[in-house]
Amino acid sequence: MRGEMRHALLVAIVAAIVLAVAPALIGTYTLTLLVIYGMLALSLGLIWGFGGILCFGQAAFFGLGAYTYAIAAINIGESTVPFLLGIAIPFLFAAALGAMMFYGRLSDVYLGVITLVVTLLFFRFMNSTAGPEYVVGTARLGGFNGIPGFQTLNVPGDPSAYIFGDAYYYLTAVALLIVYLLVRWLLASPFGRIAMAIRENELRVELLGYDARARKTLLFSIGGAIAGLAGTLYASWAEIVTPGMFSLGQSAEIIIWCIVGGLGTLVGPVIGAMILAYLKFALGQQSVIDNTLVLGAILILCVLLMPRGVVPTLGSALRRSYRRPQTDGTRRRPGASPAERAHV
Amino acid sequence: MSDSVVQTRGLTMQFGGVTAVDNVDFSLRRNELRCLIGPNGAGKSTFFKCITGMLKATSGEVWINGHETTTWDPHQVARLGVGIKTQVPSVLDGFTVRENVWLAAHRVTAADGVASRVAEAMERLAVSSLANSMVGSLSHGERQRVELSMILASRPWLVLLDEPAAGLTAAEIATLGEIVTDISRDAAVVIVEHDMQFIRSIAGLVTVFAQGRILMEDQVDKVMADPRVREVYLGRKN
Repeated sequence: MRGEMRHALLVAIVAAIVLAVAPALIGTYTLTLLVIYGMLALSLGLIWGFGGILCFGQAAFFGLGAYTYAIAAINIGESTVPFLLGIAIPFLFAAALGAMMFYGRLSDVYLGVITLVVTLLFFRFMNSTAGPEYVVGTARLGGFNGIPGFQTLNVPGDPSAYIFGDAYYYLTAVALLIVYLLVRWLLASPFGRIAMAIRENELRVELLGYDARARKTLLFSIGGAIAGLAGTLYASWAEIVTPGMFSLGQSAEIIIWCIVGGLGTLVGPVIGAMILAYLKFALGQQSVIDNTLVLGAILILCVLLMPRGVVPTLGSALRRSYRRPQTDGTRRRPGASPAERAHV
Repeated sequence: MSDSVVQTRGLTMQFGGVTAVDNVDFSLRRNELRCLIGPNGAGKSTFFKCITGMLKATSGEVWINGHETTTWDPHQVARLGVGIKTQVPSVLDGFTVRENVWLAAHRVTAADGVASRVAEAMERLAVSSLANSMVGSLSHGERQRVELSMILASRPWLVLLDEPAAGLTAAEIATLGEIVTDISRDAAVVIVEHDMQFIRSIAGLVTVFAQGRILMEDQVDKVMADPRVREVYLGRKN
């Protein structure tokens, strides 16, 4: 575990350097969104890539975190408690949803369908809350127009000290690095190893005495909390939350980020999200070709040419270049074991 | 419950209109080695799955070490100290041998003792040299040994093995016989098996299943000589 965390720290240091110099190339306003999307992708990368839980509705926790923050910020004012609620509520919601699904022995495609339906329910419901009767405390839900004009993140204890601009970018970047290190620690711990084992062979893990349902529920909840954190940070960045956060397009995008970046790694989904989100942003500034066509083409090319995703493919190529001749007589498959793959 | 560590009372398992296990009363004593045999479709594997929690019986009761486990899930049964091996080797192909065995040892061992228990279990099943190999790259026989090594690493007092000799070579079956005999020194063992030579090599009491019921229970030689057993296996009396 110590070796794995040393490796994680190395990755985090390299990432910190990249994130520190990135503002020289791209504005911090755009970069902040890329970092937030990276965190959102990481949340799905954790539960799908390492827990084998294909959640089509990660956008539900993202949107729930953002709405929770916005509603709480309007009611409370100071942002510390809303920020914490924006993480806690999606965690609890994911725990309840996960418990229903996993204790109900749902898996694979059924799980994907249910999580997608939950997301679309949120989308439909939030779109239908334009009337004055849809109010939580003093916060109107606002229907299609969403909730604007809430207190954005401030220095804890000082509501007038807003965190914005470059400072907000560095805050989100540090948050991403901390989440990355915490997730890597989780995966290197016995809990993480057992979660990966459940993904490989749930029956065998159960026959060894582990309660796979409880562990999957907890992992799913942690993924929900990270997506909620991303939603909270997004709300404060955008200064508005809308039902579009729960949309089918948003849900699909998160999955595409993970597929292109590479499942079974943590860095892969983050990089996939940042590249594709930036590409979408750049393509959105021209009118020659529709950006969804380009993104679709990238997804198809990636699935055909690099089915494991960009980061695992590049990682394997690098390993092949530097691999020493094997002398211990052991037999290995191409690639690495889950515990080794977890290093990135 | 007398001195039985495993007992079933009127255990019945139906799939639609088919009764796979029919009102079975079964009893196993502590440290006993018992083989369950029978032709294909006799219900022995279904009976095995009902004991391990992989199937929930339609009616009847399962008792393990004083606990009624009829409706328990496999992980609850395993937590009683029961080691379970399924018919097809159930291992983690994407993990190394060491990681597989660690998984078994971790649940029952304090952190500082896991490494030595893993090493001991791998040594006992002669898979130490494969410790860093991916299980997916191993032969069928090696995978069987890895699974048994996982079971040993969890230090069970009751071991349930479903067709452990399936797909093994004659040499591997001979080795397996020695391993099972070794395991049975510390634990009660129930083996569902087809291979009669293997059953002869480990001796013990044999329970014969036919059409979902227990046909007879006796020592292996007496069972082999019984005309009723020949009839259910061969469809004739001699």
